[in-house]
Amino acid sequence: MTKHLKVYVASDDPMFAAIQAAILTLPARYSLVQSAAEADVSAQELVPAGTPASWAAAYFKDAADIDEASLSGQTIEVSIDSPIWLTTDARLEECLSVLASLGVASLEDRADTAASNSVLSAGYYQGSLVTAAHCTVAAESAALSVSFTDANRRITLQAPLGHTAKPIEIAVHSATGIQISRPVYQSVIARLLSN
Amino acid sequence: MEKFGIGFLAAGPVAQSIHIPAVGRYPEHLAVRHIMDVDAGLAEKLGAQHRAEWTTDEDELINDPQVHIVVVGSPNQHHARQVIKACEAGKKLVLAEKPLATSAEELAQIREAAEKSGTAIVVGAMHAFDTAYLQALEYWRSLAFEVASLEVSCYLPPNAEFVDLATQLIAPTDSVASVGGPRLNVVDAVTKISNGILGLAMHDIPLIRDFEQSQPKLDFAHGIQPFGYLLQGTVGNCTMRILAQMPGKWEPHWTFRALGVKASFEIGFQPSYVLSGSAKVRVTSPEGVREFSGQLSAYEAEWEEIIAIVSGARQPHYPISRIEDDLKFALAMIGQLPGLVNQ
Repeated sequence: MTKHLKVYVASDDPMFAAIQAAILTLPARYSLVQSAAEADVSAQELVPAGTPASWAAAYFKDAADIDEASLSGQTIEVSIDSPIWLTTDARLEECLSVLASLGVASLEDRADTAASNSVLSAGYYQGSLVTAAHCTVAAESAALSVSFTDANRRITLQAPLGHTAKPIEIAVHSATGIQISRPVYQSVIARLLSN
Repeated sequence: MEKFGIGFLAAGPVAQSIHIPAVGRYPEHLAVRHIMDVDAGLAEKLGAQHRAEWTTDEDELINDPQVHIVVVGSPNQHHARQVIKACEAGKKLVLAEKPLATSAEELAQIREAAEKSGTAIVVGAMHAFDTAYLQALEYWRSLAFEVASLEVSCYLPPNAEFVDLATQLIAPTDSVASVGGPRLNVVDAVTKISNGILGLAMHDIPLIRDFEQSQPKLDFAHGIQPFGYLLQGTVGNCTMRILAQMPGKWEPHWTFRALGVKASFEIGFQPSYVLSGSAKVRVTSPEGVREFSGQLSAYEAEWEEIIAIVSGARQPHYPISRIEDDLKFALAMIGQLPGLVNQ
């Protein structure tokens, strides 16, 4: 039987609302407490390294069967609409972290573009054209969008990154139509915590 | 109300699937009067279908007094010449498919001809006329939030898929030569991307410029086979990404997003050739989420604008100075390509 854990989420944690909401959906496993002293564990200890965007990307890679062959000859488009304001370097780092979670280990001929609240990064990986965008947005708009496209098939991910339990949607477009799956009617964090 | 005659320079899918069906919604204001195409069989058949005159000679159509509105749907390299001729013939309005011109010199000549004759110029960048877009833009401007990122993402199936859905197309009857002028060389990457900018990104540029009027600075450009491009750079204090790829065996996807720290503006467009309602726009801000959509397609909205202009009810929403600036934005991107694209 899984041990019930008391979790403390620091109110200054940038993912405070998202983690709190996820914990509330899993009452058999977790309960919230008001101070670190009362807690068995902190929220940060419960989640792996990375960010909600990189966790969603890793989930997508697994759920959509993105393997090494899937990464070749594609147009790979990533948009990270982040609820957290970051520095340019941190934005780029999150872009690269999401790409790494998708299996794109590095970008050849990489070109970065930065403005005060957004960055873009583009380059090539195994014959694929890769583009990643990172922009700070309001919390209710936070999302990760990914698409892998070649002439025959397009695989897309739409993953809300906020605290609501909007579904992650994975769609496969091909000549036979569109297959849409909503495998996780949970926030990305709730999924991580439930496992 | 006066009825305005329309002449079509080129009788291909754009005329048959987009404009003639849209014009057909306004029979009290508009009538197809003259069809010109270098393919005589095609011009004759389309003319007969709409009880209109037909010709293979652009001058014959342009000088037809029954033609008040000239629709220029010919290949890009003919646009400027034909637009200028229509202005010189004193037409009320020219609807030019994008791009209006392919160089700053052509653009200056068009402006001079249009201002001299008083001919109104409308460019067929249909998204810019979409009623849902314009309503949402007005709302957005009332909110006065800053934008940090402008993104266009466009994945389209073959045009023929939508043309077949839009109309029973009269196919070309003959393999024909160009109507004149130089053929565009599409061999090298710069030319391919340039043609993509002038041929497809021109739909997006008026929208980008509604949010940010500065000149673009590109950091990355790549041409996608067989048709498409990725353009990355900045415009003012915004990052800008314009991505398009076609054709493929997927559903159409054409979005424009203006993202800011406090608010976002997101549009899902109808694909080209489709007269089935407006785009869908969502504006998210501290005021809440507002969505905009309507029954009028962008093409119909474009023609309602044309009717209003030629009947004197209003001035063009996009004056020639604005059209000129939009095209200069495109040409500025094209001018930066040689330093960015590997040949």
